[in-house]
Amino acid sequence: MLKLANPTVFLRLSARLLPWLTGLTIALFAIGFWLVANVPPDYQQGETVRIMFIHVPAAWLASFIYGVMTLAALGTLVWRHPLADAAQKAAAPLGAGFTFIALATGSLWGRPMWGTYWVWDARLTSVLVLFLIYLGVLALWRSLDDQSFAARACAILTLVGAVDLPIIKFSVDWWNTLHQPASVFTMEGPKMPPVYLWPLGIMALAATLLFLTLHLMAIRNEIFERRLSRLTMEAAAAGDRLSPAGAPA
Amino acid sequence: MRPDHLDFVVAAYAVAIITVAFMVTRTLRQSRRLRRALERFQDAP
Repeated sequence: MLKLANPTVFLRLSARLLPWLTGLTIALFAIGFWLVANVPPDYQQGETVRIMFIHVPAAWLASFIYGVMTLAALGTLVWRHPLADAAQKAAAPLGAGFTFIALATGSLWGRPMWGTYWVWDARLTSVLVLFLIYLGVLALWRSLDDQSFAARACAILTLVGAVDLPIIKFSVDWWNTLHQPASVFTMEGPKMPPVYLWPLGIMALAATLLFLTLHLMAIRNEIFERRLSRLTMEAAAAGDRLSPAGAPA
Repeated sequence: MRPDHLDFVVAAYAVAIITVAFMVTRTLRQSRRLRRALERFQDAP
């Protein structure tokens, strides 16, 4: 981690990793989509069971990405890791995107299965709150000009928002919800038949690799953005030094 | 016969694919723009 604190080392390593990650992501999605197209319809849900293979990985990622942002926020505030705020800033739009997918696909599954697109159920509401926190972090980054102050403010907001993660996870146990309880990670093992579990696992792995690929690319973009901003300021300062005193540069 | 609700399945996959495509193109476009801008700086005398 300390070695990666050097942006040049990070850029070199990530450039080497990205082609492999991209290839692996595409291959896993190809296998995942083929498996999803060939699973039998569920005896209760019928064809709508296929929505689960995108809804569940997106919902897992919504929480996972926020976990990554929470670690990055600690990295910014506690360890002052130079890339932590870049990692946090790069993860926020991706987290918002996956949370949107989870909410939209869940809603499209809910209409035929529950008879409604939306209920103010504890699980659904806590995930909606997570989506709003993502949007809040994005808005805060954009509203502050001083990027180091913005990084600290966003890190604090992210840490405060992290309280929503256990609420999302345990909402189905703490309250009576329309949303079904956990069916994969349970104390008794997965409650799902292997015919659905395998495609779900492959799709979840593919979605996680997609996030890692996009996240690495977005962190690289953030580093390039900072370099460009520094070069622009240096060029402007050099222009000022060269121009005669009092004259416009 | 019970309806298969395939329209909802297609809509869900469309939403997911469009959102992912947006995230991917946004990241790639940003990367290309920044690379070009940095190259212009390096090429400048």
